[in-house]
Amino acid sequence: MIHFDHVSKTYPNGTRALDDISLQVEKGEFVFIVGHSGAGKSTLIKMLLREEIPESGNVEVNGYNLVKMKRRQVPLFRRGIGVVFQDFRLIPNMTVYDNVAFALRVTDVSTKFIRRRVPYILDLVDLAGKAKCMPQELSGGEQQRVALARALVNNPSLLIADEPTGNIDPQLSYEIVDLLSEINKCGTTVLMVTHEHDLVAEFNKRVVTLRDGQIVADSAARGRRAL
Amino acid sequence: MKTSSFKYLVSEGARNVKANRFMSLASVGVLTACLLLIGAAWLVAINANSIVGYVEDQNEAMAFVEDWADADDIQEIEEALKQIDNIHEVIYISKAQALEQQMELLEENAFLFEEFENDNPYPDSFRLKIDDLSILGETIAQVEAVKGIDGTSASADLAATITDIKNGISFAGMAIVGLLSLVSLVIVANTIKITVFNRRKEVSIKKYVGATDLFIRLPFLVEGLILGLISALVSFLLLWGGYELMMNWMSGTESSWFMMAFEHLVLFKDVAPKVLGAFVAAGMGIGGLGSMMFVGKFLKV
Ligand SMILES: Nc1ncnc2c1ncn2[C@@H]1O[C@H](COP(=O)(O)OP(=O)(O)OP(=O)(O)O)[C@@H](O)[C@H]1O
Ligand SMILES: [Mg+2]
Repeated sequence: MIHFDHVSKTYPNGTRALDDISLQVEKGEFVFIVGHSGAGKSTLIKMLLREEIPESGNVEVNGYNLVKMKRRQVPLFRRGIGVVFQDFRLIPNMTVYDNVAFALRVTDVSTKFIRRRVPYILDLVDLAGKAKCMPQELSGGEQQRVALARALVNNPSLLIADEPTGNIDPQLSYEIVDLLSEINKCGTTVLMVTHEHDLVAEFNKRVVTLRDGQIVADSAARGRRAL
Repeated sequence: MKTSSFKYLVSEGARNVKANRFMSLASVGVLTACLLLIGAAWLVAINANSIVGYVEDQNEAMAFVEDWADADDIQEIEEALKQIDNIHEVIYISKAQALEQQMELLEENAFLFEEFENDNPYPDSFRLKIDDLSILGETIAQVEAVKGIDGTSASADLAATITDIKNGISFAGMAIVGLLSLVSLVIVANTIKITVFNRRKEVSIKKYVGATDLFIRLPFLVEGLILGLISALVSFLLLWGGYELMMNWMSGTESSWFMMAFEHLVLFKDVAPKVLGAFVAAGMGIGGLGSMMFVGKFLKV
């Protein structure tokens, strides 16, 4: 699903955010990415979304080679991936319903399908009653669930989350990761960046640790091989 | 792109006009102010031209006929004068009429001229109304070349002055309209830039979800076109209202100069289609192009 092959990235100001990263994530895995602030976690995510291109090495995601990819192929590639960010990134002047539906509308599916699919997904994240609300009328946890619904509505084969629980309380955080875990069980590959060691400890998953742009630990779920 | 998507994107553009009320209002305000200024400057220029044109219309030259000419000759001369392009009216004034006019001018002293009635010193003449004063010299030469014309009287100085004024007004009008357009373009461009900048987050979110550039641009284009159209209509109505108010005010004044000018002002309904067309084209052009241009800057995520 994800293949990083000796990937390095230096920002124009000289910061070396990723330093010779090699990482494989297979289809159906659930991976936590941890590391101190500035370790390069978000940069790694940007590579996965083709927001940044490595200066050396190769990145392959969901069957696409992101280094060779043309600009006009990017939208199609991104439709196969669901993303959730710490700051939710909902479109402020659209209702909850329209925010979620937008991810479907870009794909040219029928209006009929959208009308069936969006309520179904909103129900899945327990927001069926909030469809007509504007994002600013929701709590942080609710906004994050809207973002999650939007990420899932296209039935992506890969779900990427950059500190999805950073702005919500521990109880809700647990519920979000639990939801991600359920989604993972249905076959979606999940990659989640987090700071919260408690969460990582709670869920028995593979953990990749970054420090100063390098992978310093990669531990499989307990009971299996540890690196 | 499917038609349902297209419909969605167009309705999104319309919805965004309402959803971003404040910035929409600001954009329409700025664009309207600019269009109004340009429109007003243009109206002043064409009116000034029309008034000067009227003064120019008043311009006449006299052509005097040689003594030997009889009635047939005079007929021929009149025909010849009418052939000259730059003369739009030829009025014959006989010796007798010339004397009569002179005596009318003298009023009670007219008796001084009575003895001339048997020995009229005035020649037959033609009053010529000139179209284009800037080529008066050539026209006079043509008149004098007509057989039987003894001489002419025309003020070349006045002609030159009026021509200068007319050219000056045209040039100043064009310069002011051009300058205002340029300033407006800069102001409007900046307003659109701010509007789009405020929504760069929206643009980047759409990119993350996998929207194509076209999918993001189209609502912005529609929004720009709608705002441009609204600005055009509002400024057209305001300009119309303002113009009628000014006309009303002028028709009520006593000043004879104003009265003279008033009669030669352009009527708004005569230029309305032109103004509306120009406003709509400029408003929608600037609105549409501007929003497209600046969205492009944020599409690189
Ligand atoms: N656009 C950028 N331009 C220049 N330097 C950047 C940019 N983005 C990130 N960096 C630098 O690259 C390094 C890695 O940043 P990154 O955002 O990947 O860290 P992170 O692991 O996500 O940190 P955090 O946990 O605080 O989110 C940092 O030193 C950061 O300052
Ligand atoms: Mg980060």
